[in-house]
Amino acid sequence: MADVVLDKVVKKFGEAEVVAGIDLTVRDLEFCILVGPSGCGKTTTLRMIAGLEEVTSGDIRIAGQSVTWTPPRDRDIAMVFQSYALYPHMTVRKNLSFALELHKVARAEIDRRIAEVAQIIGLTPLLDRKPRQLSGGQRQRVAVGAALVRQAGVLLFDEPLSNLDAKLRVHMRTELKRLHQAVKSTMVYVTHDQIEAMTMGDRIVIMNGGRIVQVGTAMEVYDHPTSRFVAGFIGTPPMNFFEGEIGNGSLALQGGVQLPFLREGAKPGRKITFGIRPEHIYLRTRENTGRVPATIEVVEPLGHRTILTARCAAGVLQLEAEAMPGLKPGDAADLFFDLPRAHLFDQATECVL
Amino acid sequence: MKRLRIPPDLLSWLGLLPFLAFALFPFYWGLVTSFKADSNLYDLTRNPLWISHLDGRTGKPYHKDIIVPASYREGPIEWREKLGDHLLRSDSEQHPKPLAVIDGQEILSPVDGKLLRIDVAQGAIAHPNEQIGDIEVENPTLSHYRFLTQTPFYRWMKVSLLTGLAVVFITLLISVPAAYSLARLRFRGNRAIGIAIFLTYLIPPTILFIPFSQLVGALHIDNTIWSLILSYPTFTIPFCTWLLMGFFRGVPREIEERALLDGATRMQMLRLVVIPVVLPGILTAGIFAFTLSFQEYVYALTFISSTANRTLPVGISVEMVRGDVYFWGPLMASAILGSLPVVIVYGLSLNYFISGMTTGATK
Repeated sequence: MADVVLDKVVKKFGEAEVVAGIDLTVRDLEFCILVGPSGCGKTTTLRMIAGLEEVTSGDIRIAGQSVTWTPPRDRDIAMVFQSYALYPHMTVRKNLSFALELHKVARAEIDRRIAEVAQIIGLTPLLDRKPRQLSGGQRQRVAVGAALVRQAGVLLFDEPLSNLDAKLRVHMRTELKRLHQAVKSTMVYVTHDQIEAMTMGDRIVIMNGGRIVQVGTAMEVYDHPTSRFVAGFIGTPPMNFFEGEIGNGSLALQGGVQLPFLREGAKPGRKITFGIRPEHIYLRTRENTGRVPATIEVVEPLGHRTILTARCAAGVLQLEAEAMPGLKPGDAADLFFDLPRAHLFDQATECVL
Repeated sequence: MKRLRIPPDLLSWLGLLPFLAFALFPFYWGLVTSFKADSNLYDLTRNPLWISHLDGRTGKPYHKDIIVPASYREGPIEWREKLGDHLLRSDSEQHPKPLAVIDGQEILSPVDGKLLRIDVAQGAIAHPNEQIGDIEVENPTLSHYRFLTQTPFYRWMKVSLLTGLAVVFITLLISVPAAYSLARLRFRGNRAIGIAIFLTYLIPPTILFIPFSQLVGALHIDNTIWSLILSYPTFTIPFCTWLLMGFFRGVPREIEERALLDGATRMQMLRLVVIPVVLPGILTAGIFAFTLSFQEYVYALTFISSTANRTLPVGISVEMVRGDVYFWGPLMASAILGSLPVVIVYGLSLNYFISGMTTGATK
């Protein structure tokens, strides 16, 4: 049992409030992702869980015990650093055994665990090398391995994949997810990459400006963003946004675009931001869609889909069409917005309506 | 058309050559001089950078007349050496053997060489100022090196080595923790102290030696090795602390943090992770401390006045220059021998310098 509870945790560096009071419960054995733009406080939050940063106020509990003032070594946590943090003067084997030796684990047990972990992450042939003799991907594996041998209750990851090339990153993503199913640890994983966040986590915690803005599964935060920030942050290509105003049974967007308004209860005259995901804009009419005339500007085929950039009266937007839409730049096209799947945000509060 | 390609090796040698010539020339000249017989050394017709066997004026090998000193009485000569016998310069021997004796008065060889000619036969009467024979001078010669055994050279070497090692020990003992604190720990006045340490290094020893000699006198350690062991760290510690700060800053912070998470205490982290990683830096600092104290001159000259306790640089320059007479051969021989300890220390630790231990720690 190793759940992690953050209770009104605040971190200030001098006057600057980096973490502005967050409440979060990471359940036992959960794979929890902290995601947000740089400077949102996610890494600081992770480092406070690790004990590498002091908490300004609030309480952190691991497995029910308050660890707010416990030194890192007594928290039963292991961490994988963004820069890997391997001990350069030790072999891979020694890098793996270092923590266990400090914890006075028996030699035979150490050897057994190292063999096991080396097997899982494919390090066996590298055990007697020094870090400088390894490639970036191999160093990354050693860093993960060194965290795994600890068999700590909580594993922390600080953007562990950001120094890898694109192909290796995708591979390690899958591998880490598989590892999570194999090891009995709670994992807290920090990333700024929303694709990593979406694909890997059981639950995603989206942070912005030192606060948690939304917590949920990948599909929850994708389909039901509670704020304009989350809607714009999650998803590639990003959601299209247009300023507008609620009229009588209609929506008036910037540039004079008029759409039917299908929702009840909103007061006419309210200033809103209209958001719609690229895959919810169609090239042919369907039920409950609103027609918007546009001109195609850029065509980006991805193989299975094609990303189109188009300009309409309300502004530039991106949509996802089937593989060969038969359009080229300069073509005029009628776009159809899937209105029930569009999102409306209050302009002032940026909250979903 | 074939393009002329300069091999990259050749190119790097061409680039290095001016540096090597500049850096190694003094050593070369010293080395050549230390093996030259005096006759060759003072022969202005000969290339000073090379050892010549032949006299520039006569074209024949250098020779030395054997002349009976003016103060000797005349008397029958008794040759102790035969024609062709090898002679050793008398002032390089503990118990020099005379090459001849005139009425109980010894004739000593002034040079290394071979007895070439005998002018006054065995048993004949030799007079003061009379030439009794000739010596062919040996060139190159080891006589200057042998001469050093008749001076306190090895005693000075021991003093210098002992001082150097003690200074290295004290310096590292104090500099390593100081540099780590200044480089890593956050506390008030951190920067100011760092800069102050650097500034102390800028005060020239030529200003400090006067107050220091007062202090040394008050502690009654003047004329002992302790006066140097305690005063040298005043310049080696600031220098090495400053140097080590750079090395400690180069240690990725993450590996310290990982060590803490891995279960290490702060001391274990320092001992098992930080110190091993900056070992090349510590070695560098140690060598600098050693070199600085090994070559120090002003303090050693002022604090120590007895010949026996002098350090190498002072001993050499005080004892091997008499008035305006420079004993070039022994001077150069002792300079060459005196630089050996530093050369050996550098040689042994070269691998550490270039190992680049921190590569591969992060990224």
